[in-house]
Amino acid sequence: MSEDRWDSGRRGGDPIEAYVDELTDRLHGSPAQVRRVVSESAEHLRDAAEAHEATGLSADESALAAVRDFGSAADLARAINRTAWTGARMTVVRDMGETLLLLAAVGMVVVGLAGVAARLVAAVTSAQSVFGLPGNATVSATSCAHWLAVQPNATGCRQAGAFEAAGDLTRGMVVVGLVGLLLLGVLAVIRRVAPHPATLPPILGPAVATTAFGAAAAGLTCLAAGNAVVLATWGQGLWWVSAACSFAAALISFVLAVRRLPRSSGSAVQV
Amino acid sequence: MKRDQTQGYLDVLLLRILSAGPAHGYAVITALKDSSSGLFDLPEGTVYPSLHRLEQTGLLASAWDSTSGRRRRVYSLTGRGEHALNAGRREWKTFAAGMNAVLQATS
Repeated sequence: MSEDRWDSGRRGGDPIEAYVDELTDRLHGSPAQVRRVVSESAEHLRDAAEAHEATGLSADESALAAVRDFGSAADLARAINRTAWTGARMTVVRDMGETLLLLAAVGMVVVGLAGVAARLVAAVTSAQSVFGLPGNATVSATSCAHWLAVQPNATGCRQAGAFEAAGDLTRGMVVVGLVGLLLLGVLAVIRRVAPHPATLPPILGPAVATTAFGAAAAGLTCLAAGNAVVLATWGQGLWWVSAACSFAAALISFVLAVRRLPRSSGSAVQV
Repeated sequence: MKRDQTQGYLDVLLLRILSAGPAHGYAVITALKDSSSGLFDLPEGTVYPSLHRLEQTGLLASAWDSTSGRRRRVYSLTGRGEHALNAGRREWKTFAAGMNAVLQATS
């Protein structure tokens, strides 16, 4: 106990209340954990003071003796905080794992949505503009023959190639999106069956998602713009659609992050 | 007995005290002092981090109790706690036998 509070106890304040106040100041952890330790300690000190009074000490002397026998508030708080952190460590690790899984699953869903969006854009414009080869690209005779064989409705080699790419790319992206949905379902079941108190700041997930999707949007935009100049790869429009979907995901994540901003600096992390 | 010597065995001592029946922290430390004839005179607050740790590891269970008119956290031994107490007893007997053998050996 600090000297000031000892003095306060000696000057007529309640030493037990002063001790409990100091202990409360020094404890970390969730409000429930702090309440429990403080309540247990206060009851213990009152029991001990009653026992000292029964031996003939005055009320003040008994309270001081109870506090002295209980030990330093700093030492107790340090030991309790260490025990609480050890207990919370696995929960924090699990929380981080779940957050990473959630981010990965949402990212996969966005990939799937980008695939669907690209297909819709292709339906409005053309498969060639979204999925096709650049106009100056050369195509081998073997590839051309294969595309025409699997896409008999195509009017030419390039259109057949674009149809083939549209089918393959969309299918692949939608499968990724479905796996993402499956992961979201698994995560929801885990959280329902084995819930646990949140240990990470609620803003963390949306903040990381904003950064990740924002970076993806910027990167995809650069690739799309560069590809438009160099005309190097398949899917000219697909790059732009993917960039737009990433940007939309970043925007939604940003709104969620702003909504979860802590009201005060002390409420962000509670282990 | 030196405080750090007691601390090393505090967990098994607490399990032993609670094997007699559920009790709150003050009753536990009082029983520890009484049953050791005052030899284990620890700062009383020391008992709470140990009780909390034993509860986290599943060796103890606890619940609030208000039957005495005061709200107290009462601790009780679990099945795992009983096993841990038996293991602790065996370890102590082995350790004590080894110590006695060495200390009482005639050179």
